[in-house]
Amino acid sequence: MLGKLLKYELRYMIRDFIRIYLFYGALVLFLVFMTFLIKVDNGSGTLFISLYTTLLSVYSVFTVILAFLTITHNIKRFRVNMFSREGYLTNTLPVTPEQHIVAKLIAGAVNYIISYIVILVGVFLLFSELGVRLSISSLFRDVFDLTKNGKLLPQFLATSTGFVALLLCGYLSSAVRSMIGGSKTKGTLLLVGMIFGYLFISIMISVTFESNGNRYEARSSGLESYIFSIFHTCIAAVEFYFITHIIKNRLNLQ
Amino acid sequence: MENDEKTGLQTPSVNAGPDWGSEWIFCPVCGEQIPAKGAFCMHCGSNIQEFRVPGTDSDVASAQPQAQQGYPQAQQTYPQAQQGYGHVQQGYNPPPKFFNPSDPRLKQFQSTTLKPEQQELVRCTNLNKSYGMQSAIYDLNLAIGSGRIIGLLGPNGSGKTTLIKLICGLLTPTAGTISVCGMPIGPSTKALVSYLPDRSYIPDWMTIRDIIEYFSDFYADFRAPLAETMLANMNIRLDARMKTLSKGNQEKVQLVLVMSRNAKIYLLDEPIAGVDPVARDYILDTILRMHNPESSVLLSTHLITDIEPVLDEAIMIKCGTLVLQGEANQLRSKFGKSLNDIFKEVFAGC
Repeated sequence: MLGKLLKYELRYMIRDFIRIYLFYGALVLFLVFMTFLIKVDNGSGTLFISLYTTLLSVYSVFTVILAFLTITHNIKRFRVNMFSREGYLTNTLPVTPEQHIVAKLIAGAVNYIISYIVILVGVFLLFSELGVRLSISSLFRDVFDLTKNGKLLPQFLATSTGFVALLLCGYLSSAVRSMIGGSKTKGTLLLVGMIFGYLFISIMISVTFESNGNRYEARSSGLESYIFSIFHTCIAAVEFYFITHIIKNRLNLQ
Repeated sequence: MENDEKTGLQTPSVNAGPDWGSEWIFCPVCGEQIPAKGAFCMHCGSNIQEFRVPGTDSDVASAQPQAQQGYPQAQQTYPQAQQGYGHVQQGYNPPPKFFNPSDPRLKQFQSTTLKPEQQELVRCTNLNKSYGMQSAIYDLNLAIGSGRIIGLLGPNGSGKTTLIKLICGLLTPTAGTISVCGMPIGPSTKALVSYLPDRSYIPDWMTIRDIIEYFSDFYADFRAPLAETMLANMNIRLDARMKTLSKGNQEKVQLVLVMSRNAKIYLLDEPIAGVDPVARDYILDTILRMHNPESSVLLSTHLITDIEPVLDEAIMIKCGTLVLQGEANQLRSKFGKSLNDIFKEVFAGC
């Protein structure tokens, strides 16, 4: 059943994001072409330069939006699919709430990876045309160094568990919002509160390392990343428990 | 009792309580308040027809206000109204009492015993469901057997939708137990239950073909060829998106999808509300033709007149409590009226 859920989640994701990726790709290609024209014709007009600069700004903003959109889209998908009128279909499937949540987490992770690759490719193309040397080999060398020093795994764990905890934070705020009557303001405040709470605890962990004077050693050995991994995992487990509890016992569909 | 100077009739005194008017009379046997047009007393089961004077209009009580008002036609035609029932003349003044579900005399209509040939599909034992301080289902004991089309009848807020949602797993009980085919509610019971909610629940962006594939993937008992045939008969294209269909067609599509499953129990929440009479007939015909004869269909509705011809059994609930459950034919013969009229008597004053 998990595979079938994942199939429809990925299908929904592709349906929504294919247009965004195509637009992003078109924007990048257009900017690359304009960069090429500027390099060929050094005396490009002021209007052309203004248009190029504007589009470059749009591209930068759109890149940031795309990164955030991946996460917000996944959270919105969870809320609509589980707690709106679609919930009458979703919650009557012969599937456990845990499977629903895991399928959406996996789809969110896949979406984020694809978006990351799309952004990287776009940046590489644009910067190459701009003449900025971006060496793929240097990128791999950095990864190799991280692996050699044993820092890749803890940083990967910290990042991935943090991503899962962030998504589950959004799911939990959607579930609580549904449980208390669907108030958008309350749901948003709850989500913001949870994110601030997470940031506060993260800062406290970092400050603890720094105050003890062993921050550099902790960073170089990956210990801080491991601590964050454990912290994110605990947060994610608590969030997972409460989300499934709300779906099983406190479901309040529109 | 007071004597009307004009007509000479004896009327209830002004302090007798609320104006019961022509709608109510008192049972000559138990003295309980009953609808005037009924054939049987719903409290003691007595046949009040025996107490009517033969050769007259059986609807004597409705003539009472006219007689009291001094209509000469009423006085001439209905001498019984002029004379008044002896019990009325004696000044019965009980407090107004509507249909009391806890009345022990109703036990004969609150049976949860299934026939030997029936398989138990749903069993509710001391079922309670509360929304905060408000009780929606209160101490409900109910059993639903196989092979029936059952009408779940009750006024607004009586707990019909809550009961249906409890069976299909959208809600969890506050107390008590509920089981489907002997199993507690969970993914395994959801595979046996086919649910049609009272609203559109299919995503607008999906095409009919997408949703058929969706149902085929998740429900092993879904009969895709049957669904496609039914939809083709309704001239609905499989590549049409749900948002392009009219409300009536959307409901038909949802009904076809639900009934195309070979489920054990079909839960239909207000399937004919908000559709035109032609579509209503089509929906009822679809339900009759497509459901598995070994399964049961539980229909929740207010439009009793329309569904009464298809019902095998009726369950009436009021304030989350079971009032009546019985075979439709038995109820009709016992009370001597249609389910619609029984419904009106049961829920009068709600």
